[in-house]
Amino acid sequence: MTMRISTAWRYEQGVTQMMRQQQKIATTQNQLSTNQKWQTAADDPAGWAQAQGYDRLVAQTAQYTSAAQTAQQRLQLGEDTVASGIGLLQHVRELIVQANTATQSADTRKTIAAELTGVREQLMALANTGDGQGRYLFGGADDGSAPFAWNGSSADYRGDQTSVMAQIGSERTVAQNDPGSRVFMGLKTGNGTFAVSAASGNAGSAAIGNTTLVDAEAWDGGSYTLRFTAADQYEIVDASNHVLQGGSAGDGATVTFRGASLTFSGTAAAGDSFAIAPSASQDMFAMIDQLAQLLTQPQDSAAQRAQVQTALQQGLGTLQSAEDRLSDVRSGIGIRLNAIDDALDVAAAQNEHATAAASTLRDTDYADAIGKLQLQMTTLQAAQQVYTKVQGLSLFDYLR
Amino acid sequence: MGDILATGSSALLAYQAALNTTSHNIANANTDGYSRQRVDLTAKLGQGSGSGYIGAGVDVVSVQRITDALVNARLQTSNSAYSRIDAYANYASRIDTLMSDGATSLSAPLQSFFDAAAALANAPASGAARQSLLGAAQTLTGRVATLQSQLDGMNGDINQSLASTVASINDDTKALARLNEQIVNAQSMYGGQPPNDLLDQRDQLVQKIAGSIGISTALQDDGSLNVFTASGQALVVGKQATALGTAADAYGSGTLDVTYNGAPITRQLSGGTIGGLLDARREVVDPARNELGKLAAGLVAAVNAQNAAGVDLAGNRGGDLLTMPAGSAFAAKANAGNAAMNVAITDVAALTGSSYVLKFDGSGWSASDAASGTTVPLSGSGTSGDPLRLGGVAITVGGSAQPGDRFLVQPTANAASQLKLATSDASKIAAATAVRASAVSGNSSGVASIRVDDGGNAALTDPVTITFTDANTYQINGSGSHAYSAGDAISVNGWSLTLSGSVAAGDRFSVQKTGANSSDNGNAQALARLGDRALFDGGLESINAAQSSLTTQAATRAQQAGLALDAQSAVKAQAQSARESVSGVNLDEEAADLIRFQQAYQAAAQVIATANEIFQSLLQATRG
Repeated sequence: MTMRISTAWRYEQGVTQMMRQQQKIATTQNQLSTNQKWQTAADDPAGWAQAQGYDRLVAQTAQYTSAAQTAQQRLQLGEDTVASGIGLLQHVRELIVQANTATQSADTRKTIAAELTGVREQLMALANTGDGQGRYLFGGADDGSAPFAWNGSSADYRGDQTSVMAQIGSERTVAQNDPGSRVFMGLKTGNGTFAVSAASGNAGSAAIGNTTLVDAEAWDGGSYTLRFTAADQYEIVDASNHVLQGGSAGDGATVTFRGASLTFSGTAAAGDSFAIAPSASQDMFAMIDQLAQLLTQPQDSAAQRAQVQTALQQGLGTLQSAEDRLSDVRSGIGIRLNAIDDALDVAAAQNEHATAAASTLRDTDYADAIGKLQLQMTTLQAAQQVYTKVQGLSLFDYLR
Repeated sequence: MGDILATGSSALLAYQAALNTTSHNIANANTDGYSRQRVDLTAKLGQGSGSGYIGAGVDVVSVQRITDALVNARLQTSNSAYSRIDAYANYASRIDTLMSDGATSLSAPLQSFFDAAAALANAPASGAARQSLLGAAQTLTGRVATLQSQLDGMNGDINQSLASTVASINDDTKALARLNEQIVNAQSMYGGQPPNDLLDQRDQLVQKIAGSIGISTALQDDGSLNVFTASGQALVVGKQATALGTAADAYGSGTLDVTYNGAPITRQLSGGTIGGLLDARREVVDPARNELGKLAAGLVAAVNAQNAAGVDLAGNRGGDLLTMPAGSAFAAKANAGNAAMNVAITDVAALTGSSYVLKFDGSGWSASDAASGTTVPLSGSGTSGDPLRLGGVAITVGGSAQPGDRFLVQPTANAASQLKLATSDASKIAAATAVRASAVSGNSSGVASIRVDDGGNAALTDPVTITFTDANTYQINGSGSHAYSAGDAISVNGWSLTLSGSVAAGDRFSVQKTGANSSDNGNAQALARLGDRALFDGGLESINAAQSSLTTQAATRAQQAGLALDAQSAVKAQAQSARESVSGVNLDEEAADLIRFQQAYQAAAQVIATANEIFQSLLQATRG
């Protein structure tokens, strides 16, 4: 039993087949001309979601890259500024060494002092460097106005202590600034543990040169007074005037007391005294100012010179801490810049992988699509030829 | 001789009818719904004689159309199924396109919003970065609203299609009832001969109605056909048609019900365009609206909570950036009381995407799921102090309800349309961490970082001083004694502080509200990462994941609908092919018939000529 096929149905089927092929060709054409395998998510819901995930990853790495670049710029600005600060402090040291030679007169020392004041103002300008975006580099997060101001004897810090972080990776942040409080403020005077000072009425020529902490365990952080009972005899008393230690100390002698070692030069007069106290906190600008003021003090007598020498040695100690501080800040910035370079590399690699993964999922495979298109076109052609051929077949043609 | 003439002329008449019928077939070869017809011939009973029965010619018994009731029934079922999935797939694919197309989908504006927050973290005090975040938020809310209006539009389209399909069903059933009448009359007029072309017309109407709605049919003895919906409502009985109607739903929530004799029968209907539209509304459009609303509410809750965890450019705790949408409640039109409900979204993690029916029994309220009818636990009494709570919303009831009063509560269906910015002031964006810490000058340890853990803590920005009495003990605001070991976080008032360096006795830290115009970006960073924080479904799904699943859910439905449509169109094509195979006209066959009947006609004419010749011969013979 053969199946009857109605004439109208045969035509309709032929047309339907051609339409179906044309639809397939249109889809392939769309894939080729847009380079998108999918027209809507329905073409592959799971793949679509996966590709969206990669898109988000790409966007996220772009966020990290942008944050890293912003931080990089700020940190480089900071590094340049701190490097300039180190240069200024070196200049301070040169000026002090220059001023501390015997050939200088009171007038030339005054000139050097004036130059020191100039250096202090330059350092202040550095500390108030802007970031080019209307904010200040060293103000912490409160960086909308200049963070440092000179009040006549020391600097006022008006910023805050916040490090502003940059998100440079999914679990990776770096500080993109150094609050000025941690850069220019809070230096420890003297050698960093204790500081000594000569009493203003000292009559001898004894000055304290080098002070070192030889035994940190023994140092208890107290305040003491070293006084000379005779030109070469000293005793050390505590705050309540108890004598703790005594002995002889002349020119070049070193006295060691509770882990602190003090080296004397010159000869003391009976009654001269020196105070030993834990280091105080000082800002960099006050330190330079103090050094400048020292240079303007009269150095006419041996006693006056001894006064200046003791203070100068202490000031140089503080200067050393300041130099160390800026070097530390600079190397800290360097470390963070390295971390940023690394994060940028990671982000670039991640971006590349995610982009490639999304593209593999979503982009048209041209070789495949072109092959498919050719096959579809051949099929359509065949369908068209068959349609015209079959349509010509009719018994009525022979009824003539 | 007379017999030969009669026999010949009966053949002439019969083959004339056969040729007529063949011509009719050829003429209707392309007429939709036409069934080919055949002339049933039968030999006339012969005249008996002693030498046997001598045939007396041929009779036309009837002209029958060739159909197969089973094949037609199959076509009717596949028509219903195809129309259903066709209407359904149309909406599924529209939503899929809406969610996939870059110009309408949420993925790009959502990402832009988070990108803008990340850019703000790079320049927290920059007015431009703030404006651009606000702009991105505006775009996002606009896009959400557009999506919602598109979905609302689809709901409207479904309503319209329901109304027009119901109207067309009513036209068709009315026409069918009329045909029933004509068929019954025609049949009785000629002794039960079938009015083939009327029957074809009626069959075609049945197929058309089946495409609109699932039906069953019953042929009656008098030739009329009764038509019922799949659930049993009579649409046509004999020459009487009953019209379907449409009416707004019982709560006036914007959906259209199909009614029969004034009573809604929407839930009972299936199959055909109507079934497809109802299924699309229930399975595609409504869930998409609810998911979108859920996403919108979640976004608002998350963004506002994050903003509250920081301080804005003026140094104030962050306020709302987006306005939290409200749920909707519709009172049943039949309610006797004047109660009204106010639905507030309180817990986005508990939102379900379902709608609920709340019923008052005279003393209290009970709730059930609007779709499934299952009872849902409900707490509270409905007063503002003790609102009714279910599924993440708090409902306060105003006015007074009467026993039997009902409300339809839709927490999320219309939420997305209300999404908008709560402020146009970009400085209200809280980019900075709410608190900052500082070490007092002379401390041996410093501040490593401070982080806000609980942005909702009321005391978050209260000033606090931490003082170490020794390296392992600290006081808060000068009192208490708390143990500390290096690396511990000190957590007070919703923030936690970590220290750097080694702590010594006397170290002091003060924590206070971050000031105005701060460059701190901690909160902006958190805002940028909000997309991946788990918020929904009891804290399992993030905003990004919810956005993604909005797309993939629609995509999966569209994919399945597309596959089902392909399958159903193949089934329909098979059924059509079977019908065409039985009833369709094949022109070659008709041509062959034409030749066959023409030859038979010519032969019959020859019979008459022969009879004439025989008669003439006889006459000549008798003339002699």
